[in-house]
This record gives sequence, C-alpha cells and structure tokens, in this order.
Amino acid sequence: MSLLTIERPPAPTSASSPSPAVTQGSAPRTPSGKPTRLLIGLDLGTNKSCILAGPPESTDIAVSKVVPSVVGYVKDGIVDGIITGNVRILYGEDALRQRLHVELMAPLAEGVIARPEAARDFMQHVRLLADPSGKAEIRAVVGVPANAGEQAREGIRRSAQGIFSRILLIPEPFLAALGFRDDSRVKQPGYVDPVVNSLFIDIGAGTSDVCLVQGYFPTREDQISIPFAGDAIDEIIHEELNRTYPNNGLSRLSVREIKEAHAYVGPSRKPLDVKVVIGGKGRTLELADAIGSACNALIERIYPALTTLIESASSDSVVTLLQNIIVTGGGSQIRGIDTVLQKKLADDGYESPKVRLAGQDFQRYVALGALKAARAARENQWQVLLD
Amino acid sequence: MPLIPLAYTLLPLEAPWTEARRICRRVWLLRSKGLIAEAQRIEDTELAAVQVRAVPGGGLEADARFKALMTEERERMDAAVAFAEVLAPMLSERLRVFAPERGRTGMSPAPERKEPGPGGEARGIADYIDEMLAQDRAGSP
Ligand SMILES: Nc1ncnc2c1ncn2[C@@H]1O[C@H](COP(=O)(O)OP(=O)(O)OP(=O)(O)O)[C@@H](O)[C@H]1O
Repeated sequence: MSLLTIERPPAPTSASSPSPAVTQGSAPRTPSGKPTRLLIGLDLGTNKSCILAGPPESTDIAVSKVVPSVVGYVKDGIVDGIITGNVRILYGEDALRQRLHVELMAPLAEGVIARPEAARDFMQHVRLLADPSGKAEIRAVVGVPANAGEQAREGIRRSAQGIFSRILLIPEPFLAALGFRDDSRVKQPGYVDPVVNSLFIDIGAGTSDVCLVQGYFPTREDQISIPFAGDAIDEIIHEELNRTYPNNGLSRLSVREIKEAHAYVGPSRKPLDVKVVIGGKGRTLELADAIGSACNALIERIYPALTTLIESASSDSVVTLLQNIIVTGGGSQIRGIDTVLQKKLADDGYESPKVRLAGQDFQRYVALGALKAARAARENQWQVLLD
Repeated sequence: MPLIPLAYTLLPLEAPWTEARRICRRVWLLRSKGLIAEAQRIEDTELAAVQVRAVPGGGLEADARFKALMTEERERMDAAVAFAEVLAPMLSERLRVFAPERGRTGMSPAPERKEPGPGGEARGIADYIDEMLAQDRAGSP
C-alpha cells in the first residue's frame, strides 16, 4: 500500500451539474482528541470505482478519485525492486501497470462482490485513499445495483466490516439522480429536478439499469436492471472478431479498448478501419459491422425497459418526464446513444422526447449522490458495522 | 379497535370467496406500500380470475357483493396500518432504550402512493432514505 499517491483533484465538473469545490488533505483530529468523522460516497463499480470523501456538515470534497476496481497480488518469486516498495498488493492503475508480475483479481462481477477477499483488500485501499492518516472514523454510503438482493448487500457489508464504522447501502440509479441534481438550481423556476421527475439509464460494465425517479424513493417496479452492458458488448465484438479474423490473438482488454474508441449505435458507420497489432505486425481491420451490431444489441435490450417505465408513469408527470431522460455510466459514451433512443421514442409516438447524456462527469454522479446522502443521513439511518 | 366488521361474518366463506379475501388483502397491502403496479397486476389477473370462480354467472348483485368484500378488506388493512403506525414508534422507542444504535435503521411507514412527489427541497434526502429503508423492511430492493 505504500504506492498510495495523493492525486490532484479533477478539473471542475461539467456545466450541467456543478459540484462542490474539491479541497486537498486528510481530516484533522478534533480538539477533544476524538477521531474526526469522515464521510465517503462510494460507487463500487465492476469496472471502475469512484471515491469521494469529505467532512460532515460541509459541501467540500477532500478526496475525489476514480480507481479501476482491481487488486493485484504480487506473484511469488518476483525479485526485489521490481515492484516499488516491495509491496505484496497493488491496486487500480498500479496493479494494471504491473499485470505481468501480479495476479489480477476483480472484486466484483456484474455489479456484485464476486471475490470477498479481494473486495476486503479493495475496501482497505478505498479507506486509505479517503483517509491517509488511517485515524478518522469513516462512514460510507455505498451504491448498490438496482436489483441487488440481500446476499449482494451482505457481501458489501462484510467486505466493509472493521474498515468503515457505519454504512448505508443505496441503489445506484437514485444516487445518480441525486448526484446529477444541481442543488444551486433546485429552487429556480423551470429547473426540472432530476430527483423529482426523471428517467435514468445507467449503462455500466455488468448491468444496464433503467430507473424512474419521481420524487419518492423508487420502488422495485420503478427499476429495471438488465444483465447486458459493456462487458456483454465486448463479448459479442470479440466473438465476431474471432469469426471474421481467426487467430487474431486480441485479448478481451484490447477488444474493450477498441470498443471504447469506436463504439456507436444507429446506422452502419462503414468504413471503420481499426489499426491493431497482431503477432507483432500492424493490421487494419474493418470493424463497422462488428461494433455496430454489438452496440445496437444494447439498444434492443434497453428500449423495452425504457418504454415500460415511461408507460408506468402517471399521465400528469409523463410529459415532463419525457423531457428528462438521462443516460449515464460508461455506456453513455457510445456515440449516438442519446439520439438513437430519442428518435426511437419519437418514432413510436412519444410526445417530444428529449434524451440527454449525463456528460463528462458520468463517472462521479453515483459517488456524488452517495456523499450527499451521507451528509444528509440521520443518525438512526446508518447501519453499524461490527468489528 | 373493531378489526373485523360485522358484515365480514355475513359474507359466504366458501373457497373462492376466502381466496378472494386473501388476494384482496395482498392487493391492499401492496398499495399501502406504494407498489401500485404490482397491486394492479394482481387485481387484473389473480383477483379477476377468482371473481369469475366466485360468481360464475356475474350480474349486478354478485358485483356488489364483490365490491363489498374489497371495501371490507381495505378497511381491515387501513385499520391494521393505523394500528402499526401507533405501535411502531412505541416499539421503536422501547427498542432504542434496549439496543442503542447497533444495526438499527430508521422506522417510518412505507410510501403510500406512487404519484410524483413534491419539489426536491420540500423533501429532504433523509426522507428518501426513510422511504428506502421502509421498502427494505418490506422486502423490496
Ligand atoms: N467511450 C466508451 N465507449 C463505449 N463504452 C465505454 C466507453 N467508456 C467506457 N465504456 C464502457 O463502460 C463500461 C463501464 O462503465 P461504468 O464505469 O459506468 O461501469 P461500472 O460502474 O464499473 O460497472 P457496473 O455499473 O456494471 O458495476 C465498460 O464496459 C466500459 O468499457
């Protein structure tokens, strides 16, 4: 863990939802000597996790980090000096950089904890990122997938036991709406508060979650979680590549990188020539169809969920709701996803639909909502974690 | 509190009617938790089916009897919810004395309706969390 670095805070957030200022440094102790309380908003993602931390009763954000959700256990026999500080466990980018020398473990799969040991180590890392002093009393609000059952929740609690003192688990789509809300504009006339009337489409790695947020806490009926998202797209592209270019030797990680650079939905964007290195030699592959059909498969999965939720909204709210459909998560970066969904809705006769992208800050909204929730939670709403 | 109105005892108790009562109670319970869509689904499917079995020929009188049954079950459910609303804070208060903080979460009734709520500032984030915890207790995600 000596590889821990205090990164500079990210650039100011997008204009659509200004976030509170980010300040640097760990929490000091109170004059009485009691440990300072630090609040964490945590988006524990399959692919990436976002950690925001700050003191209670303030809007400051002391720590803001996005970390790949991966733990690397250094392989036996690695000679001294190869790994800085000779540590045994690396996290995030450090683990990925040293992938030849470590056994990489993803603590989560499809949004839930799949490897409890790695998850505990990852939580320790989260704690250290938030509180390098290791002395603060930590309370964390953690986002959970819309459909997370008791087992999935228990998995998170267990991995946080003895690391955080209290925890509160809140479904991610609601946190995304809360994070996306521009608190400074809530009272302005004409501002449609996303917490009061919106439809969130959160496309992650393992799941795509569609959620109706209408001024009350979304019920089970308001949330649809589809086990088809970025990872499934990678798989389809990979299979198609193996079919059309056998023995291409591309890893799943390379396929993901290709997808992230070229993903699109809608009509074919041929020609889409992608340069790759196979067996040390440069090659150009035509990938318009492979990428287009895999990404369009996502639209086919999401769209029915979207219309189901629109139709379940009351007639009084639906017109405004149609103006407030927001796509977030890594999948929101797929080119054309907003326009394709909007056009499909318009073609199906929905009244002036408007689908927007959450914007560049999409990776932080869940964690930002979680930190806001942590600051607002009443004392009796926290769950105490036994040591 | 007269939880079982007199009329209840006067209605027929043969199998489809008993089942109808049970389904009615489920429907009202779901509605009281704000799970309107699920309640509606059960009403349109299970309840409609048992209604056909209970009153095979249909007709005005049968419809009226069925409506009366629905109303009675709703009243029973309302009474139970009201009872719980009085009891829950009392119990919560007592439990607070005996089990301070550990693993305890907020106590508040489940959301009652699925209509768009008021403006964001009118309801604090903690109120949403209360709703979520109420749903968790009721077995929703
Ligand atoms: N530019 C891009 N184009 C297409 N897909 C992208 C792009 N950038 C990221 N993604 C994909 O988004 C997914 C990750 O999204 P995100 O970080 O929201 O998920 P997560 O929170 O880690 O996962 P989950 O929410 O399922 O737990 C990955 O599949 C990633 O490849």
